[in-house]
Amino acid sequence: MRVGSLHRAISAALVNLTLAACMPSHQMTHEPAPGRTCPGSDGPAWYFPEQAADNARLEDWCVTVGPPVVEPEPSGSFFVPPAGKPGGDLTVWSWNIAAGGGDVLRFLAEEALLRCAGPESTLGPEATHFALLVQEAFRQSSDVPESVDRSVVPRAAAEETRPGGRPDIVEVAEECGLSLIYVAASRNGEQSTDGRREDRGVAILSTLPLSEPRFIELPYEAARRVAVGATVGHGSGRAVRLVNVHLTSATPPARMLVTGNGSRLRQGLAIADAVLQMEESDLEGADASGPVPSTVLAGDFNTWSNSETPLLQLRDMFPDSPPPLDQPTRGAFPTDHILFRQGDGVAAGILASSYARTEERFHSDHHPIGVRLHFHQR
Amino acid sequence: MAQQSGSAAAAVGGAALGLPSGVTLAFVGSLVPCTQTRPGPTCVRWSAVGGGVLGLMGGAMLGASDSDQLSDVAVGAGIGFLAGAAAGLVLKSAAERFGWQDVAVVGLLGGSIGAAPLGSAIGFLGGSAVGLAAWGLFDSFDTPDLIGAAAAGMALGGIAEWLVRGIGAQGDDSPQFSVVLPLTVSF
Repeated sequence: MRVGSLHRAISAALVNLTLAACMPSHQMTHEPAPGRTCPGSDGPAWYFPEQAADNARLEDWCVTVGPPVVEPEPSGSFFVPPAGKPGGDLTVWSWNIAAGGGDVLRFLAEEALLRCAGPESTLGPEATHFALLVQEAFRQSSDVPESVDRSVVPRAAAEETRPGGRPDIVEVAEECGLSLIYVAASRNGEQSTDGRREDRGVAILSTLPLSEPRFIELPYEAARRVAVGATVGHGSGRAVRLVNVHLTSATPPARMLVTGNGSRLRQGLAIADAVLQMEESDLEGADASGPVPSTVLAGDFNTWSNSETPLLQLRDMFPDSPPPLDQPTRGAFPTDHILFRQGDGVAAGILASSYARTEERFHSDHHPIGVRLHFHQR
Repeated sequence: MAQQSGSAAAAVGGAALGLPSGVTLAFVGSLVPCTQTRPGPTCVRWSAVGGGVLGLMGGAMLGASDSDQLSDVAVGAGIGFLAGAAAGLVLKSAAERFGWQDVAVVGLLGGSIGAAPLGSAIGFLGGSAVGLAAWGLFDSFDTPDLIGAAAAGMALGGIAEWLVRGIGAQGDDSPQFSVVLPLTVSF
């Protein structure tokens, strides 16, 4: 009887191991895989999936996009109490702008209280410093290459018709005096305008300097997706690390069958793995930069439920997160989230009551969401 | 329909039909509930394994005892596969990155439903009814949960049909799968 129970237990364990092994790896690495020619293998700024199969697919996508844009210093004149110091506040916004559908300039004026005037840009008297984590940002540039053989050029994202211009993310940063880090995930259609082709991806805009840019190429599921990270601070303090994510949306049925519907989980865990590697390098190695900062992980997770597996698992890793919003952010679905983990450096806390979505979508298909961080004495 | 004797070959054929049908139905039925748990994909895979085992057992029992009924099931699976693949072709023409393997998977789902159409339909209706009731009663029960309840009902009904057919085929000579619908027809 005991032998039978043991046999059953071993059999169950073997089946369990087999099933778990079916889940493709989410491990990340600094080392680009053999055969990768992009997105640039220079230094520790990039994190790649370890699996060769991912890299083969990702290469076909990345050859169609331009290089990242890093403008670490804001050019605007932002005289408000400094974030990252005791008594300072920072508002973190996250918004999927539907590749030009969302009216970013109006959002910045009405929600962030920013008067955009190039280097003369100012924040309103009631405003705080802010960082805006943008998904589906786009960039028009001759730096975006002509499409090449074996490349993947997806259709341009459909936009809602709206009044006003359609400035790209670089123009928004220049017009509003903001710092900017932008990295493209894919082309935004084949067509070019006046020789300028378009790509789309994720960006961080801020009234504060952005340092330590990090780019995370997510494991391939249905399309190439990237995440971008940066640290904001003030003076000597590295106040908070921001990580902007955009997980895959609809997974084709065959891929769903292979992963057990684990595409978003795999990409979420890959981002968590990259963040852990960033924190390890904060503490050790040649470029160790001191205590681990607090981390905000925010973006479009494309979840249809607040209790979807990737969110449940990421919340375990980000235990200081505010409770999920009780309102949907895209149609009927709670796709967008802000997660938080306290670090060892400058003390920062989420003001949970400030976590909300804006009522207006500003012509995007997503509502912006935001939360306020307060920095205090330990 | 008189019950026909089965054979070892028919049992293998039944198992070969029941296994993918059970796997696919259980996979689809478990998607919404499982992806709201921490194990997520592991839960989905375990459900698919369970569905596959039940489908295999039902199919093997049916084939071993009643090859005629198994032939009917195979025809239903074939029709379902063609209908599913046709739906997949429509999706392929509309959606980016929807490949031939995805058309095949949608066809597989159609075939799985086609192999157990009555159980799947009754399960779908039952799951939808339960889902609608829960949707009305609980604020936390959202639209995706309603869709999930319908899919889970369809999966349970379809797998139950495999088992009922298989077990029923072991018994007496009468057809083993019958359903009484509570309908009143007035003139």
